[in-house]
Amino acid sequence: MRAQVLTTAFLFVVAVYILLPVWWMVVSATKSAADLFDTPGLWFGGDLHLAGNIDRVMSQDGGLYSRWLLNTLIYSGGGALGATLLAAMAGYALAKYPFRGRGVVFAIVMGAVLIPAPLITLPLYLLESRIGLLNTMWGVLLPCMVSPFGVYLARAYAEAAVPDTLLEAGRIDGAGELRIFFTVGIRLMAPALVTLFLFQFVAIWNNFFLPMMVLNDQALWPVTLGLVKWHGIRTGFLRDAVVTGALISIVPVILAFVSLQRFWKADLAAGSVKL
Amino acid sequence: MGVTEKARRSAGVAAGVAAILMVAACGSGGGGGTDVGGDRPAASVGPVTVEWWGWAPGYDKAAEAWNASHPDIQVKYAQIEPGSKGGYQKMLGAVKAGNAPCLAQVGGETLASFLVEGALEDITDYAKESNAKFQPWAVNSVTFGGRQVAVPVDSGPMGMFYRKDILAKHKIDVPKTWDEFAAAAEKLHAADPKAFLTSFNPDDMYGFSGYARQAGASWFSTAGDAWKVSITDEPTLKVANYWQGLLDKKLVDVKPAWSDAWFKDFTDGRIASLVGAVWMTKVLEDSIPKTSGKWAVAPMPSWEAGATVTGNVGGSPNAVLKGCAHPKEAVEFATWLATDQSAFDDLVVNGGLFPTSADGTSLPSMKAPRPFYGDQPVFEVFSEAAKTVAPSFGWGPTTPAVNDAFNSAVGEAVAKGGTLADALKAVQEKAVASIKDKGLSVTEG
Repeated sequence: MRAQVLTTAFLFVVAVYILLPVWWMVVSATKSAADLFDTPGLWFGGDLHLAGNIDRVMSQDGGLYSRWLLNTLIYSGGGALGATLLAAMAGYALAKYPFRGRGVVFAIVMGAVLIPAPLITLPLYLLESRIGLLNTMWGVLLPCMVSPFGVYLARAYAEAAVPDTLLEAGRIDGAGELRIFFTVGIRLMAPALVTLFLFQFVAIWNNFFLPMMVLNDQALWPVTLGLVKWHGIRTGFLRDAVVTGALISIVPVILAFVSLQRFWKADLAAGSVKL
Repeated sequence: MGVTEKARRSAGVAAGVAAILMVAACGSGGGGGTDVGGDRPAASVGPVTVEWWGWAPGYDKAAEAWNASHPDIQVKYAQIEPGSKGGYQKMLGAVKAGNAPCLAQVGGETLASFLVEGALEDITDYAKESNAKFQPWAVNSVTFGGRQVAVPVDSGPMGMFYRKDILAKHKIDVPKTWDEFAAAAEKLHAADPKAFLTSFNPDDMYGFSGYARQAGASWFSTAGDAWKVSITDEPTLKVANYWQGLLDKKLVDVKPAWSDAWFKDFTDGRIASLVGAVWMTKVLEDSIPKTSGKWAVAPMPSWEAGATVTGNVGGSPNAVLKGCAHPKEAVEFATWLATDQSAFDDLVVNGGLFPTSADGTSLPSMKAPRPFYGDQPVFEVFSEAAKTVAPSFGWGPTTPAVNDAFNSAVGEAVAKGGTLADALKAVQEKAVASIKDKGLSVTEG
């Protein structure tokens, strides 16, 4: 009982610690530029200026912000979908098909997990420069569709959640391997795939270095690049736009989490039972 | 890391300069790949395209204006992230890939880093004819070992922003020397214990370097094939001891630069002045609009009465990157950008930039009264200041590392009661070590 109270209290403190900056952002997004430094940071200023700020964000630089948001959605959504599908296929194959060199392939994938993404960004840049992918959407999308950690996760989950007997039954019924994968395998793996999708979605959403290197055209930029650009401008005050733009940019991520949360819960529970 | 290895192979500044000399001699782009063909055309046939990367506000409109009046040389501008936010990595990556833009905005504090990376072209021959159009110190700041690597475009001469109303209320004269400044700080704080004459930002190396520059410091220079690091030279220590005196007597408001708390203290009238660069003009106008009309600008306080020397913080030269096929045209455009009266007038209005050109002071926009400063034409003060900027200050090839060292050492000294002089010694050691780590030779002094 006592331990429970302590645990709750501890979690409460951690939650406050994590949510305080978010609270600051929400509050600051409602302030006019003049109030931003003239009123206490953690409480609202004199008048609510949120609508004005949103208007400013949307009209700054000829309305580029909405374009950036759309781009981020394309990169995150497309990249996460691609990464999930590829990781699911690779993980499923590694778990379910015994073939020569399976161990080696898996070891290489595991090795790739250990390499931080920024480290390979420059080589990627040089590669993309050669094949003409610089300053294109594909230049950002393609690298984002590769997730070694996703392959690992998918393999572990497929091993536990997809019974061989079920695949056998499918084969006896005359279904091809691809059909079995899409109708049986992928459905059984769904909880893990949702997790994977969310991870990758958020990772791409927050990605900065890769698009920064690859993209020149501002119309192709994701939100992260745009906000940093605004933040870096010292002449011409954009702090209100930066804060409000940041707030708007986390809304889709929150929506993605809330709407996919129930799948995620199922996944965590499933993992604890299976293991 | 690859960067270190590469630098190690090209022993030092001398090697860097030698490398650009060699390129100038053999006349081909080198560094792998150029955007138009392999050889540099002697005379351009048809329109030439110069790619240009930067992030300063107003550059985009300047490119449009140039293109409209120069059909033979078309500038293709791309706005990238600010250098310290990744823009410089992007440029170096592009140089490695052989698809770098011809011209790029490279801050004065970063030029030397680019030089030792072998990322710059020697533009001495293209630039020398027009150098008379610039303030001599500005050309000096983009020249290494006698070879010019960039065109200076904008600068950041310093001045003193102050609250007219607060000084008047306490009958304090506008300080003209640092001695008067210290006396004023004491008088103001005694009259109103909540108020300070100025603030001290322990995390602002660039601001501090401006003070040191005014006093005659030069933190980095080159001697033969070695870098010389002098962060603890006599002028810098003089400045450090001066601020130490104000800190010890608790006469300055210690706040992180650019923090909300700092701006709030400005709004609340707890900070009555700021000795800073010209670009603070717009920052103050935009950040603390509620104090509009109460501010004014005076020349930076001097060390000796009557002897005006000014510090400088910031300013971005534009450099020709390695592999550029049309360096002559790139330099021509950059020179136009920096010195053409109407081009720079637009940069002042659109971007709040301040000229490095010798006759920049006669720009119409320099005379505009600004309501935030009680209709004072404040750029006129900076125009005068620009003529007296201390000429010698140089940056080294490892500015980000030096900046980190400064922030941690000075931050700790101010927070825990150490001295600025000791902190600077630590910065000096770190700076020397960081250059050694790059495989470059270095001496202290």
